[in-house]
Amino acid sequence: MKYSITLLLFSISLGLIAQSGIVISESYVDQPVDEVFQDISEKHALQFYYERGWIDSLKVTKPLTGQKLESALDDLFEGTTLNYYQDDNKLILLNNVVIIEEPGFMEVFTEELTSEELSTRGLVFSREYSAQSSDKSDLENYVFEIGNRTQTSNSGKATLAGYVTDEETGESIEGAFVFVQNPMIGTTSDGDGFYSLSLPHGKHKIYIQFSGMKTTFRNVILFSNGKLDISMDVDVIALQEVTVSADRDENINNVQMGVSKISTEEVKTVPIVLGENDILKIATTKAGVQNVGEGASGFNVRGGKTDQNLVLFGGAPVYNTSHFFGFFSVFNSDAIRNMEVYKSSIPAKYGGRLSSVFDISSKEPDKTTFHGEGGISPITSKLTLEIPIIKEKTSLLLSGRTTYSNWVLKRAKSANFSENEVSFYDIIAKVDHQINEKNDLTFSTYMSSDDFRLSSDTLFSFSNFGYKNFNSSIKWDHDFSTSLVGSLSSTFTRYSYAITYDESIPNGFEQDFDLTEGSIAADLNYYPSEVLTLNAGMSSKLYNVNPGSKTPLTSESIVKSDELSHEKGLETALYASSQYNLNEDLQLYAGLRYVVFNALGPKDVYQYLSGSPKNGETINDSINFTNGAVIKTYHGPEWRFSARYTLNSTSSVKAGISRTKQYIHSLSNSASLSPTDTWRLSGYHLMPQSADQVSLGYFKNLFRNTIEVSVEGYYKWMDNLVDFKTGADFLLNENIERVALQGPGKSYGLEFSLNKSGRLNGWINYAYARTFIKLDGTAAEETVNEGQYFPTAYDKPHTINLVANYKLTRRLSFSINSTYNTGRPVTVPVAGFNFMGSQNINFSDRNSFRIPDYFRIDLGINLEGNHKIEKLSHSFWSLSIYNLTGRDNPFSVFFDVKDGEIKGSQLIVFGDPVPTLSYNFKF
Amino acid sequence: MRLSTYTVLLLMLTGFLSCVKPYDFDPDNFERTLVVEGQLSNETGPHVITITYTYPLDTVLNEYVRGANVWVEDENGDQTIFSQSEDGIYQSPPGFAGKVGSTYQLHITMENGEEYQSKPELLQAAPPIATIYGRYTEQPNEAGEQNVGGIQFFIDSEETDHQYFRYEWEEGYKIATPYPARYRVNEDSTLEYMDTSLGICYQERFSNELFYSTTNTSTANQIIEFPIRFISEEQQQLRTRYALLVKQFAISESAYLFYKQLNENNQSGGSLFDQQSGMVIGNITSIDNPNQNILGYFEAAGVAEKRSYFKPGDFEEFDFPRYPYNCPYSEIIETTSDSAGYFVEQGANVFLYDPFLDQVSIHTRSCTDCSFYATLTPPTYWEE
Repeated sequence: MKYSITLLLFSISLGLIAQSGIVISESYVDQPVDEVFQDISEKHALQFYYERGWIDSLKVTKPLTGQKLESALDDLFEGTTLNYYQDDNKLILLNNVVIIEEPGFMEVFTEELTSEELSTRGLVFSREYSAQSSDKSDLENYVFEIGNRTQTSNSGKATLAGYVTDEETGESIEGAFVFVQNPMIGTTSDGDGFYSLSLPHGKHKIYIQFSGMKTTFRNVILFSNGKLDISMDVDVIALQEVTVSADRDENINNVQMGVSKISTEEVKTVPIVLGENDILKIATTKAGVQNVGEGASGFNVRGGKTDQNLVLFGGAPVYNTSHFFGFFSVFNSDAIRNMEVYKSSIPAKYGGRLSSVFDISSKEPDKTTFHGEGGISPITSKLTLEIPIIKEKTSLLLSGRTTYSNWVLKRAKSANFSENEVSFYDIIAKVDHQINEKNDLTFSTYMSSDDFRLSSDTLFSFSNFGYKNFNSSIKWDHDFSTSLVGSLSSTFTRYSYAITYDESIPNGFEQDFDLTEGSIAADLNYYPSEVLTLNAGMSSKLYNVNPGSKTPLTSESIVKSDELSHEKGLETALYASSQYNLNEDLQLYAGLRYVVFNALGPKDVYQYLSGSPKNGETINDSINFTNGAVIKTYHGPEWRFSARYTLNSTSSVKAGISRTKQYIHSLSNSASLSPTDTWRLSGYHLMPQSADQVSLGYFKNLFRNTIEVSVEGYYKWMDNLVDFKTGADFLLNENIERVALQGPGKSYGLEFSLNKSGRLNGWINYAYARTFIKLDGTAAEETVNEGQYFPTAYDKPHTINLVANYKLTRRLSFSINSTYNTGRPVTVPVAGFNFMGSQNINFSDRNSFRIPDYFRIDLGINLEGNHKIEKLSHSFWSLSIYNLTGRDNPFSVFFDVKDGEIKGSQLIVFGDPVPTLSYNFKF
Repeated sequence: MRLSTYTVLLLMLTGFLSCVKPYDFDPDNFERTLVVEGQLSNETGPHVITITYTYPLDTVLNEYVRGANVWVEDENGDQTIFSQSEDGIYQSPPGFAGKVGSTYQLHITMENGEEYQSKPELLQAAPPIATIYGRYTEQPNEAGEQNVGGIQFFIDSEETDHQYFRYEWEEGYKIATPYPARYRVNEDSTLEYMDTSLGICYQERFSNELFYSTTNTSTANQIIEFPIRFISEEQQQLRTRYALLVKQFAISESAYLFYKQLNENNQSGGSLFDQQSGMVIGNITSIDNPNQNILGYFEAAGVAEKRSYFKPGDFEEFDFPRYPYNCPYSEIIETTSDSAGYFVEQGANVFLYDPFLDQVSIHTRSCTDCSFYATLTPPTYWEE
């Protein structure tokens, strides 16, 4: 490149442009430009000066015969940053340098002085700026020239776009803050690390900040639209350094609220139970996200039921997020990059669930070096590998985890159950292929499996039970230009379970359930200016649900085959949203999503007498729908609005209003997600659930942004929530409308949270949250609690979470996690009565009593191996003690009749402190 | 899934960590509700209707309803009066039996004039029970912490078109002490041979659980391998001779659903997969106030019964149950007849007497006598 500088000076001194008068006589089609130049040089005694690297990929595409040399060169260099200068028998190629004639050169300079910051200053003598470096590896001092110099103008603007990545791992960084200081123009990188800034032409110093990374900057001269990829280094001493990170600004600057971003790094600082770091468990330590209890699957987000969360992995939904009924999440945290949880202000591109979105992204495998990570704990072992396949183009992520709890079970005290078997595993595979600078292809697949065999207590129920998640997605990302990026994706998800019973041969059976959904989606992001971002797209999803089928296990079995008719549905959505910065203080987000849901045949649908309860006695008609016929269509808009108003540099208020709808419902009359939940689609009778949420929040950063404080309040009106008649049986139930009840609900709450960074870091939050449902049907059997609003089974008014981590040294850290919440409501007996020689329990109002409050403290100690960079592998030990105080937290309180007598019992899952030691390594 | 299964599973994996503890419930939310229980079958009576109120959970005191007028009316309007035999218990005339194919409706008029009635119930014929048989299995013990071996008894019914069944069992078994007392010691120290030994007794038990089943989900028109009774190796029933009577009632679908719900209410295992509990409404309603909730069910059902006898040797793998008391041979006292009275006063019994040697053999009461906890007369049906 030094060569070009010499050229520049040389050419300016000449100050003249002459015409060669040369006419090209040959076509040269498909010949490299290099050869063409040599040929012309020989034929016309014209000397070419250029650097070979500039043109080695250029070829002649159109015949050049008969063209003047000048016009031929213009054609050849179209779309490149090349131009040329000609003097007599010399033709000098220039890369991104313009030879400016004397008067214009002065004009540019004077104009720059008068038009202040927005001028195109420094266009000519970019190298003269101080501290410049010609060493490209010295990124911060090197001056990057972006775009084509010839397209620059004094008052014009150009878009600078690119990807922010982690220097070490090559993974994209989401949420990095990319900005110039004067004028203050900034943006944050999106999920793919992509950023786009619209800046005046000219010289800029671009800063890039991200927590945990060293703040860096780039000197840029922006001529026209162009690309600048930025890599960031891990900040090894981040804790001592005060950094204004983009994330922290996000607390007050982001237009959205009710959003939690959880990275795998955070996961490692929270004490663990049974030796597994668990990203989903961390979510429950954030305000507004609860679960029902230890060993309960699913989440209750702001008073929503557990089926109202859209859990996405690689863009495809996951229906059961738990191994072993909720003790472990189905995701191996080592393979996860981060997770975003939206409790409100759900962007318009997401839909289909009422309460929340958990968007989980897996790691982007390193394309240059091989890495591995693993862990060993008493229950599980796991391994994650990042394998480059084609250097800097293609890489593979492989991650697996399995349990050896069978081995543990057989050595546990209760060895009497040694014939029982428990096993689970999960696998993540992802291929990342960069086709070229503008095109990326990602394929990811995920599967998890749980299997149980019970040798005891099986005589009356089942003996084998297993459930499986499978999901797969393919995504093609394409950058149309620096301000327009798009993606096309397709996903496939299957969730299934099977129950087998083989203890009695004549009664042996297998019962299964499965749900598949396939979708295609297109998404476009457009960044027309730094104050406006547009997003639009469409998706179409086809569901096919087998609600249950039962088949005899052997030919000797007398069990009758039973197969419920499949349910099909098509959910099509169109959405568009825009984010607009009206001025520095006010930012607005408006999104609209329009969804059409078609319930499709074949199906026989019963109609019932109006005004009567739906049951076998009130049928008055039945309709037969043929395959593919539309049984019922539901459609409607869902709006998502939010706004942020900045009060001052450290505080802001935000507000949001949104509507969400849900067309697939888990039929479960239990408080948590259970593996035997059957999911059913909205149809002739079962209406879609809907929710309208308004929320308001105040956000403040204190002590140089090391402490973030927020208060958020919300009120949600819900309708058509799904509940059940008492004693409803929905397994193998063809006519679900006879047992399902739908009614309105409401939930409201106030969430206070405080996040602190630094050597002592963590968060504490308090949430007051209530949630109610009303079931007021036409008859007694369809009415619950006299048709009044009553608390749902997951209504826990007070919750306090504390997570604190203290780094004693760089290698040793301590963490505690503490949780308090009000006991959940349960239905308790109101009386006993004698009937048929036995005592019996009579229940009255649902959820009228609460189990005792829950309180727990966990302690964790992490010891990392030494920090020598050259070490082949890094390792750390973690010791955690779950339920340090050994408090008996009842998981449930229940009443049953044994030997004709009523007994009250409480089930305690972890009544004693549970220590776990695990070893993790990384290479 | 069956509910307690989850609990067992949970206890199993988390093993030594999880536990179930008693929970004392403060019953200040007591609700008093009328309970009606009645079964009418084609067996010869007396049939019984019981009318009570629910009681708070910390008591077991039934509050009976006295002085009500209770009658059953068939489809022809023929009434059968059930008269009060004791508090809250109303009996039909002893010879009254329901007829297969008839429809019966229960009527109750309370002392204060409140009137209640059941829905009409059709009495349908019950198919016979084909076989009762047992097989060795292992099941969790009461605490749910380990498995015990035992015999699970099953029934198969004959083929039938009827779909819904309720079961009851009655069992009788013989108790044989190791050294059955044979001689009574008179006041004058003479020994008298007893025709009936105190050491051979009989005990009867009756089911106190709801058993119900359906052929609805089966391809065969019969109930096959329905588990009715489990006797573990730790229990006494199968030491000598065991009689198991099973009654099969042909119930209506609505009775079946009522029993099923009632049973599920009674069997929550504490897991989060429990079904939603709530009041279970039967077929009794108030005439004056249709919104009044009344518990219980009036059932009219045909009945068929079968009794089978078993002995320990009938089963493979089954360990012969131990006699519950320790009766070692070495503790037999051998003495003369005149000192027998002393030992008998201490509670021991004479099981052998040799008048020629004037020698008596004595063992402790629990090894010679079962009459203090069981009856000496065999049940009327007993066959050796």
